[in-house]
Amino acid sequence: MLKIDAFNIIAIVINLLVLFVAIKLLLFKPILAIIAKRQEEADAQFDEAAKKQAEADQLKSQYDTCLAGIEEEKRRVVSEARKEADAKGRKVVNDAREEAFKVQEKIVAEAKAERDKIIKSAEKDIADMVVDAATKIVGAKSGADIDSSLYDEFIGKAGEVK
Amino acid sequence: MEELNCETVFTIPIGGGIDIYESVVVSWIITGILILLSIILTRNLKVHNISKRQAVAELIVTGLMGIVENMIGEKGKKYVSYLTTVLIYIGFSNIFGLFGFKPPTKDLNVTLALALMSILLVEGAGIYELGVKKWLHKFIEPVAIMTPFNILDLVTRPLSLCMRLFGNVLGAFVIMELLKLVVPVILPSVFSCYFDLFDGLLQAYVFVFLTSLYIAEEIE
Amino acid sequence: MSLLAIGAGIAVFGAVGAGIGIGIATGKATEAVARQPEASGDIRTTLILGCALAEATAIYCFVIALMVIIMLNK
Repeated sequence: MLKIDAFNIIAIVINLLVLFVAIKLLLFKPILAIIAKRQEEADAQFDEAAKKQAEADQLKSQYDTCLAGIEEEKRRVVSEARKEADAKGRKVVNDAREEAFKVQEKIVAEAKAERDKIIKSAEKDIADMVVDAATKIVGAKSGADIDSSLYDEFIGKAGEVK
Repeated sequence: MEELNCETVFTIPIGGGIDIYESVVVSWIITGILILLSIILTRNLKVHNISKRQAVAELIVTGLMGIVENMIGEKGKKYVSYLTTVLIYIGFSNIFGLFGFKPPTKDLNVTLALALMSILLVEGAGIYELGVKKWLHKFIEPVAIMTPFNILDLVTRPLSLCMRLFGNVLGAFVIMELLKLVVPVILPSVFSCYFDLFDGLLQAYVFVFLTSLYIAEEIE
Repeated sequence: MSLLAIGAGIAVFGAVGAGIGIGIATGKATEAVARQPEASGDIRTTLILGCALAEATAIYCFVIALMVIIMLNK
């Protein structure tokens, strides 16, 4: 136990070196290699995932812009349609108003013509009446008396007409 | 008393005859078992869908290497595999007493060989990393008066490594033998949990820890 | 033989230092855990390592005592 023997020490050293080489070659190397490989693969997968993510992001942004374009288009179309409809409606209203004006004017003109006619016939009546009255007064009275009665009569007749 | 002695197993008939001790034979047995184990553990490794055996092998390798790497630091990465081998070897040797063998680390020759390897590795690492000039300059650091002590370190370090491991395993062995004399059943198994398993693995850890400490200090 | 035994006993007396050292280390570790219970894992690891290193002193004494008995007992 306490004997120290150079050959035995050398034997142990050789033993250790053999064990070191064997374990390094048989245990550490393959297992570390496989771990490194797995790591590499995981890295590659990660990279791929990142790439795919970027692609998806791009697609999404494209889609978003597309969607925004559609929205704008829609808004544009709607506003255009509204404008058109507005214009059409206004035109219709204007037309209607114009028509109404025309009708009204026509009616007014007709009424005026009627009135003119009536006035004209009334004037004629008055003139006839005046002539009538004149002939009647000339036939019945004279002097200032005649004038005043004539006047009254005229006034009364005119009031009747009006 | 004869329990303590490391018997001569056989003699090689060269010159006056070279005695081969039991510890050397047990060491070769351990080496064979470890090589067999590593072959079995690394059979048909796969990247995906790993078997339980492979998971265990990966756990062992990465765990032990992680322990050693933590001790030695980033700079001494190339010494990790040797230190891990030593860790496995000493740990396995120390718990080999459980299987009815005498642990080879109970023999002074084995621990002396381990300590010699360690000091050679430490100084070799110093020369390799720093160059001969800087390595020699290390001996007069921090002041020139320290030179004798630094040279003495070359002897005391491996001696302390060797004696610590040897004494621990021998002490545990002696206590276990005495215990077996007093109480032959049950109690020895309880105590062997501490002395063989815990202390054996702890001493393997301490040995590797100190060696890596010396290396880290040397290549700093 | 009796003188050898006495010598071995004196050699083992050096183990007192290891006992004191481990006692101090454990006491400090207990204080540290009381102060910082969250660092108990690190402290335990360091303590076990320190104890293993301090124990070496006692182991040296044991080895020397053994050597005294075995080597001088001729």
